[in-house]
Amino acid sequence: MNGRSYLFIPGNSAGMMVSSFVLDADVLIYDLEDAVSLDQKDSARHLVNEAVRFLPKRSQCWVRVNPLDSPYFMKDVDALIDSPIDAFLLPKCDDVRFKDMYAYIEAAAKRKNVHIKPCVALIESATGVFTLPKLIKLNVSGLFLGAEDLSADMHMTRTKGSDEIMLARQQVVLHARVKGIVCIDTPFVDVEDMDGLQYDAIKAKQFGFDGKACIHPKQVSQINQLFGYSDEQLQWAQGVLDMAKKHADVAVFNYQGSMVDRPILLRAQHMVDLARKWGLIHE
Amino acid sequence: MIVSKPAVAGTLESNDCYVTVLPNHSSGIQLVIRSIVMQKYGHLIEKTIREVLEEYQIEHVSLTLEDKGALDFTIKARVKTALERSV
Repeated sequence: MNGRSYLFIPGNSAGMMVSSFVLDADVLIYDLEDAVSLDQKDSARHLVNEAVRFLPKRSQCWVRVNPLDSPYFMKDVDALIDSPIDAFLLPKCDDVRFKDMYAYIEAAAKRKNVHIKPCVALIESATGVFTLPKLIKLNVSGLFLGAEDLSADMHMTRTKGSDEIMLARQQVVLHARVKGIVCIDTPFVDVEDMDGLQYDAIKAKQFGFDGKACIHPKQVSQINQLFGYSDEQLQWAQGVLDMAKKHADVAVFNYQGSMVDRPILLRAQHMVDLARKWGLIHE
Repeated sequence: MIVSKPAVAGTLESNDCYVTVLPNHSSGIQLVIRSIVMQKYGHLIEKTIREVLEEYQIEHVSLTLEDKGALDFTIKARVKTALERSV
């Protein structure tokens, strides 16, 4: 499920949906929740459902459904459970809400005799952060930090430096690593401030996030670049793997003056695998 | 399914279409399609609309579709939404 950029597409915008599949986002998230007004929920659900079955697939495709306590959650799941989407993004998660949403999705999949889709939890409340230890014991496939709702819930003031969400960022990454699942950072909401985006994305990467949400197509390439690998990094990783083939009979060897053991070999393999997936390496 | 009240769906934005359905209890299916690509794609737009009407087992309806360059999936989605809003 690894990606660098996760671009939200409003679920009722036919135009944005048509152009979305030519963008370079690794994951497209069709949004049925915040980006859709209450009187257009039915329309957006139909549009997303038809789009994911019709449009050519270049990226992974997720759908953010409406919250469990809304009148739309079940309809969203019922409509999309047998569609070719790659995952559900579940809003306003804590351990109890996730468990209930997952149970409904699992039952819907059974009813239609299809495999259950991976479910990614959107962590955007104090309870969501606080119950992460319980949440990762459930069938969660990824953690996605939503800092705007979290800030409102925590009575925090959002700043460009994002110091106020440091604890939440650390908790999300920590629990994703314990579980061995993907973690995605909150979007940077000032779409005109590209320097701010750069700073925020670098910080998120330093914290250990795998990728970052985008709310505008112009944020995608910068995030892909920051969360991807440079040519030098990929040359190093490929060099390590080539050398490993020559030293298949030893556990540790030297590459460019540094020791390479199993964890470093695994990291190099992981980098090359992802780079291949993102089209940075062509066979 | 019976169309029992007027309903609309969609927008007049680029790549979208605006669908209006009206009850029509005995005159069969009456379609009006307006599109700048009518000559080239009008028959395909009509085919898509008729497929949805068949899926919903609609026998009587007056449907107008104002096309702004909508692809097949958008036409289907907007017609379905309008029909479901009309019951």
